[in-house]
Amino acid sequence: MDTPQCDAIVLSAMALMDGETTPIDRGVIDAHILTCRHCASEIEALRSLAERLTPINRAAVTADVWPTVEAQLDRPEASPSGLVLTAGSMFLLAWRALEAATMDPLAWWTRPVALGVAVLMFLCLRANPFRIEPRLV
Amino acid sequence: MDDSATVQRCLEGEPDAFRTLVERYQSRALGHAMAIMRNRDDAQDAVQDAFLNAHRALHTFDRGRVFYSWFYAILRNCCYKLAARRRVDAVDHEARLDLLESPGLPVDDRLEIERALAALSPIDREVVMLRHLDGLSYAELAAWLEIPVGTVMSRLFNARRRLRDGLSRGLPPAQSRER
Repeated sequence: MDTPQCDAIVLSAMALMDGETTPIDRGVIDAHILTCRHCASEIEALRSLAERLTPINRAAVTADVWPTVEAQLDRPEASPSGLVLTAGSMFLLAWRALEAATMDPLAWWTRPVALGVAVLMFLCLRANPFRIEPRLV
Repeated sequence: MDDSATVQRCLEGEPDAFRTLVERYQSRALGHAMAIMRNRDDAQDAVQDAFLNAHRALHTFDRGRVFYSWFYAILRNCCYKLAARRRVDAVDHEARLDLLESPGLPVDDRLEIERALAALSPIDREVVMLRHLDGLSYAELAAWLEIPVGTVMSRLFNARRRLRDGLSRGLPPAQSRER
């Protein structure tokens, strides 16, 4: 496009072609097209593209995703206690690995923190601490 | 029963209500997903993900809004995420869409249009197809794509220009960098 005015004119002409409203009056657009060959050719190209696409339709496709969606809807989401157990296990493993990897002992406060995490995990399994949590599997 | 009432029934825990929504929109959603993914299997996975995400987010649905336009935002998000995860090529100059039918048009013409559409970027292809094949207005496009009407106009204009270039030269149009 030649000028910022051409930008607005071509976009407005396209909107009119698409049956939309536009802030620029049709008379202004028509007058501009008479004097601007660039805009005239752009608008003509848009019109011919629209005509070329007119006979095209979206092919009908059929889908049946309900059985899969239903199966996944029935699957229970991870419970908060499951998340605590997972996060706690990862924390304890990382803490133990760090402790084994470093020559110097870790800061004194890491032990009570690890103990607290272990207690929290035990509370999450309060019904039976040795029960396998099926939602974690 | 309209979508808003069906969503309400879902939220009240009626088990068949969500099935109604899925069955009402799954084929339409698959067509739209195939336009983005260009592959039926990937598109079907994206549609399934989209319905699951929609089910989880139903409580956020604004009942003043058209259900499918809300769902479409979720669907296209799932499509782009899946495409990124599976490294689906954004543009394939050799691909065919198998998405179009044109009873009154010679097959060669239809294939040429298909190839030119397939060679557009997903963003360009999406806006052109929603406008020309679904007949969405600019306001509807803005709602579906969650962008302002001014952006719809410029995106549509640029997409049409690239499509026109591809068709007139018989070559794949330049890849859009917009996303």
